[in-house]
Amino acid sequence: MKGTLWLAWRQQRTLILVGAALLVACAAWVAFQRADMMAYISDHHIDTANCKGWDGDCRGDAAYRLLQDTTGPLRALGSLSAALPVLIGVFWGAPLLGRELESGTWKLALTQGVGIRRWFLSRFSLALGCALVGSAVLAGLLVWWWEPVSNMLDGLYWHDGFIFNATGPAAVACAVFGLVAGTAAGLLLRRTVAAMGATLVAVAGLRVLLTAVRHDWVSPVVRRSQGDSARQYIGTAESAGDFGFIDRSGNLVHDAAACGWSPGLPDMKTCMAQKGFTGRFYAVYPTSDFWVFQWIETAIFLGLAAVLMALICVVLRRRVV
Amino acid sequence: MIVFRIDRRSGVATYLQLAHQVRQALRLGVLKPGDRLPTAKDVVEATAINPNTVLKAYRELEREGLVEPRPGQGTFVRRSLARPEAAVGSPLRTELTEWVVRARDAGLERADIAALTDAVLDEWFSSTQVSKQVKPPPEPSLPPHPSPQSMEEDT
Amino acid sequence: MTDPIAATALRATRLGRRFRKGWALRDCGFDLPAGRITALVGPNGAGKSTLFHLATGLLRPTEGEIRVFGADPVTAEARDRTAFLSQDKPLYTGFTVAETLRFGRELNRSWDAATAERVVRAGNIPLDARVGTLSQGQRTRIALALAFAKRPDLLLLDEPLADLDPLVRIEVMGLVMAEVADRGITVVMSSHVLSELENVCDHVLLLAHGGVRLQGDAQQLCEDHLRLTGLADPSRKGGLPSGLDGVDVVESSVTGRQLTALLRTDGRPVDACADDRWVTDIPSLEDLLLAYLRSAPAATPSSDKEAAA
Repeated sequence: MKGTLWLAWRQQRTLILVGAALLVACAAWVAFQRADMMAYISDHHIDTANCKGWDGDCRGDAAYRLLQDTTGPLRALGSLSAALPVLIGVFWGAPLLGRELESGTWKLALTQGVGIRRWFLSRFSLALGCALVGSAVLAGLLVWWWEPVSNMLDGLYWHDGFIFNATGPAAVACAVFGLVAGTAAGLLLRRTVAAMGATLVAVAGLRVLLTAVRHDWVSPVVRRSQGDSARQYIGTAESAGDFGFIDRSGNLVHDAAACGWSPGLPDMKTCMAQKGFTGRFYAVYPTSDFWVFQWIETAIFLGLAAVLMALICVVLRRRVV
Repeated sequence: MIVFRIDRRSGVATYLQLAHQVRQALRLGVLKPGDRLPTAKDVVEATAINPNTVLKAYRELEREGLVEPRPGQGTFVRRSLARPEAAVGSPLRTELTEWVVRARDAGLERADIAALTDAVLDEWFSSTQVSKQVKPPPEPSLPPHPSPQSMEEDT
Repeated sequence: MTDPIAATALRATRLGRRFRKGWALRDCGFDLPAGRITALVGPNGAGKSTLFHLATGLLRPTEGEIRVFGADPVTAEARDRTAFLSQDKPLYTGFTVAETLRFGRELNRSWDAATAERVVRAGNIPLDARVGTLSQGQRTRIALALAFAKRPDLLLLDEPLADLDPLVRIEVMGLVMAEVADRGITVVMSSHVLSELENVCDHVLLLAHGGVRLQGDAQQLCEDHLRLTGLADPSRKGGLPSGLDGVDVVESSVTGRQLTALLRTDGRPVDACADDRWVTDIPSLEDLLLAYLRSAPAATPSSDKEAAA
């Protein structure tokens, strides 16, 4: 390695080597666990394709035991993958400039023969490359392992935080955002520890915020059923928590308790007739909305990262003192 | 080889201190004709003074005809200040010793003899000041050899 | 190398830099000649470090400009010719000495590995030692090895001797001076210890309150000034003798009956000092700098002239 890239490697090699070792260990563990899981599935002739959804058509206890055994470890891996952007931001992004500014070594580096642009781009590119590879590999491992038992019975569904926040393009984009946010915090606060704290709050905070408001951006699909006939199974969709009845003019009445049942009350059919309801409905986010949500969050993470990156460039151009 | 020592509180300009120490070494025979003076780099590395000060001192000595620069080789001693005329057993010294004995026999104290020799020296080397200046002028007009200082120390 | 007599190593024109707290430097103009050793002097907060940061491109000026051998400090050309030793002497504490030298080699277009190793070895510093385990003096030596191996034409030293014990100070200054003797490089050096500058520097740039207070050849500046001691004249304001019109009084004070003053005569004979009531002599560089540092208000010599007239 040459020039500023050598310096970047020399300064980040501990992080890179530790990260790589953890990743390899993770991959080995996942490979082992998955092989175990697949053996169990074939040994017990579990027809996973037919088990999809809450009301999946699985006979026997084997499928339930399968999920019991795999959900915990999957959650652990999902937690790690979901926390990775925070870890990258705190331990990689924040010291990337923060430690240089705190120790004054930026003055040493920038009074050698290279300009600030090359110095920054080398170290940032190396960190960015590692963040991309690390988050993509972890997200990939999780999907690879989860896929055979995905969206199944009482297992992990696409909309669970352990899955949604831990895989897909948004997980990788979040890692990029974490790195950029940490870098910006280090540059602006000029103290590594303070920058670490700020990065933790910013990245974790944004994750929580997005999880809270995610559903407001996409309209759920309304599933209707005529009269009191049986409703369509929810399957692998995510319930939007919105149930009710349809009146004669076709309007939705968002009140699931309008014809509730308890001893002494008329049955549902009578109640619906009395109140003039022609059918029932419930709202869901179908499984395909995984990608809608993912792309929206990817855009948000990358957009914020771009804004922070522009800020970093402006501050660096004006010089750092 | 000569080792320079800088007295930072003496008030004497540093280049004069260097030149003086070279002259002293020439008088004592520490430096002999053909010897090479230390390079400016060697001197400043040991004394932490401006290299131009060393070069200035060497130019001063060169002006006095004591040293000569040889391009690409360094600065070399041209002639010695050690004076055989003043050595023990030389005729001049023997005569002076006899004269001092006579002066003492005539009842003169040491201070009287010193005053007398000073007076005669002043008479003969009248253009120069023997007393040391606190602040020498930047380009001191040095007397022709022998300098009064060397006479003073050689007696 | 360029002609050391004619060239200007560092030139500032109406240079100013403002921070949130206010102006650190304002309206600074100076020419520092190449091949000389300039003392950068000033009280704390006078803008010395700011000036170094502007000269190395670590900081951009708010107004005016600064040029290193005619080039903007942020250009590759200027960076290649400048080496800077910051006051805190930052080094990567986790690197070994050998890695630190490799850092210099990797980040510079020209690199003289032999010089770097010579300077390190002369200090008996093992190449495999961690920088973090070295003493302050050894670290300064490593920092100088980095600076010298770059083969700069301009060496900027911000308080290079602070935190060093007296033996190491001589050793470090000796290293710098040997490099000057060897290559004729230009040095700009700041220090609080004025006596350290006396035998080293031959040019002076004195900053006060963010402005240039005094600049010029050290020897010439000393000769342009006169230290005056004598019986204060009670009939005159400040006790100064008459006939000082057109002479800058840098500093004057009366203690009892005695008056001491430092005058800027610029080589002109001063009639008032000719009579034997007054003792006059040429101040030493340290005396001169102290007098200017003590004369608090950051007025330029020309405005002093108006005040004295």
